[in-house]
Amino acid sequence: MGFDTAVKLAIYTSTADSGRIPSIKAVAQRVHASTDEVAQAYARLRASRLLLLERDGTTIRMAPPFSGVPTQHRVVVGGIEYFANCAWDALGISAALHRPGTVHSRCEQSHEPLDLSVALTGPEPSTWLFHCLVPAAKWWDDLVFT
Amino acid sequence: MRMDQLWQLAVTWYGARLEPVSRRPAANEMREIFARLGLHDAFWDPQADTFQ
Repeated sequence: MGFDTAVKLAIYTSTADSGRIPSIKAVAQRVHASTDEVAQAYARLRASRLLLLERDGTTIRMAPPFSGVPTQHRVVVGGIEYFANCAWDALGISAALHRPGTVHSRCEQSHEPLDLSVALTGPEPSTWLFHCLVPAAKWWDDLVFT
Repeated sequence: MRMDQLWQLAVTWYGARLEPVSRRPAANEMREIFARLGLHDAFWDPQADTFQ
């Protein structure tokens, strides 16, 4: 396994276990490397669009579908609370973990609270709709806005 | 997009994300994924220059 893959797995495994994206120090300890080496891997993973980093280059804002900061899209799986980057990623957390969960979010139009159970086969029937405002070609121009 | 469509998208996009070989879909793969959901227009084309 290559170094970047080890770093990626360390990030995702730690996040799956705890619900929180780990610090670069924690990742470095997990892969037995320096934080400088891990930061270089972060930059390559960002170039591959697997991570979105804060300006410091060492803090992960997004490891999709997981968010590094609290958001309005909370997902509870196995008693662990995760934050998703958007509605797509909210379902993506159950899909990535291969476990059922519950999404707690809100309608952006009405601000009505929304709760949705997600089984291994998908979400319960609902009238929710996912609205994507930004064209695919522009998503990574400003992924936080997207 | 309906929730059943979004679920299919989530599974395709993230179902292997915690595995070593996982990666983000390439542009041509993204077009195929969206097309399977009936999303064929330029809005869902990751290389479209329509929205400059």
